[in-house]
Amino acid sequence: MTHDLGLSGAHQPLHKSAQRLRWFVGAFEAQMVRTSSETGNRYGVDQAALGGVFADWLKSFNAQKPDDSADNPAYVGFAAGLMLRTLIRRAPVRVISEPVGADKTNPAYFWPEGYLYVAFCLNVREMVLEKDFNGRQKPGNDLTDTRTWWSFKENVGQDAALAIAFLDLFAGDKPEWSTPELFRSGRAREIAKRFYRHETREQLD
Amino acid sequence: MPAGPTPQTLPPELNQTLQGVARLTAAMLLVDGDAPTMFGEPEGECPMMNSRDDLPLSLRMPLRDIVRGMTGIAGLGEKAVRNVLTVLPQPFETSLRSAIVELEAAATRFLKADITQGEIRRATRFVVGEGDDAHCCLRVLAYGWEQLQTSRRNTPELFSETIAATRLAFDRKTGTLDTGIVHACGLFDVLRRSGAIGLPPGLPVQRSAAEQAEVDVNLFAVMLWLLAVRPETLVADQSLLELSAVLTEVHRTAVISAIGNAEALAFQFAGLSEQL
Repeated sequence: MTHDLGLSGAHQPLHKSAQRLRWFVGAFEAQMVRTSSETGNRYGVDQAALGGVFADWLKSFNAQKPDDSADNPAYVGFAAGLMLRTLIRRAPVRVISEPVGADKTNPAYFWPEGYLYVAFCLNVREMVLEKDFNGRQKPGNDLTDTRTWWSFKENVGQDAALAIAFLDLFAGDKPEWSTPELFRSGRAREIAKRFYRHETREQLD
Repeated sequence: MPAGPTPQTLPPELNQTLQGVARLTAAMLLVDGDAPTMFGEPEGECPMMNSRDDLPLSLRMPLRDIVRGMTGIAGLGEKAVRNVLTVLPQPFETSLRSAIVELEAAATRFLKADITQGEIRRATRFVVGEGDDAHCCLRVLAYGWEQLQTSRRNTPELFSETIAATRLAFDRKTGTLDTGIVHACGLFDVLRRSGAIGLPPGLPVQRSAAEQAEVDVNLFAVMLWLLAVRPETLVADQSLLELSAVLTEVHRTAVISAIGNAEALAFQFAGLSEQL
């Protein structure tokens, strides 16, 4: 499910590039191609809705940007969760066709659109952590567990904000279920002990 | 007594005349370049198509506008033209249709000719007040305008380079020497008020408030495209124009509200060009 999307930050850190519409659309389209190739699902995307996803996400991203640079790696994970929440809310993608006889207990066919959104968010999360913060991501078994996906689809259908917590779960991180839409400063230090080799030196601006 | 034309054939000389007119016009459309009369010589050539030496430079910009007018009218009056064609005798209809098709194809090739990255960069420099190649900038703006008109399937509103150039020449004599986003805002305002964007004269169509808003949003999108950091390839740059339209559409309400307020417009241009 996770892989390199082949998009670098070119002349600037990846987390900076990811704040531009051109990078976001390019990365999302690359993910669609990749996921289609891996699953046999065919997707259609509404470009205007995708533009809306980017704008909504950027607004939410800027609203809680941390002042303390030590929080930056954790904020990458939070920002990826915000993206998943926004994708689920705006629903820019619809599946056009699935392979005949697809196994519906497989997350890729149980919820093809959700699977694409999760794959995109996890991959961008991983890329930014690796390239800009020398960190890494360790997705757990929940990512492929059908029961988790049932719960995921049902819960985000009632409250899209829970997507932030579910993405943490899929990424092998500790989810914040009670107030997932609020970024907690200082969380980076808890997580860094387990996941990151170095903390950031740069501001996420 | 020599036999006259049968009902199924057009007299050869008339057919040749019709086809000749179409071919002559098509050949004229292979001319490109910019009029040097208003701003002095352009910084460099705009090598979009082959140049011909037998047409005065000063005619090239108006010629492009004439072609835009012809294609615009053809698009708007398609029904009327079709009605006229149906009352003509068959041979006339066939020949005229063929001539129109040839003319339209040449016009489309002419107007849709790809621009170069160098031209886009020169246009960008002019938009932020750092270059003098106004004609190249207007050519690129017209290109961007036409691309968005096509992709968004709007009512065809024409972008007249000639009118825009005339207005810009006047404005430059009386205007300030602003640079950056402030210059871009001034240029947006000049273009918007210049009358350079509109329907072909004489058409019984009046622009509604919604259509005016559409013009404003599209013009903003084209200028926003030029204000963004330039991608490395021409293909990426052309795609960026479409993304500029998407981003502008997402922020449509804020963009429309900002028009007429220089500070608010500058805020929108600066913020959205960073995001693009």
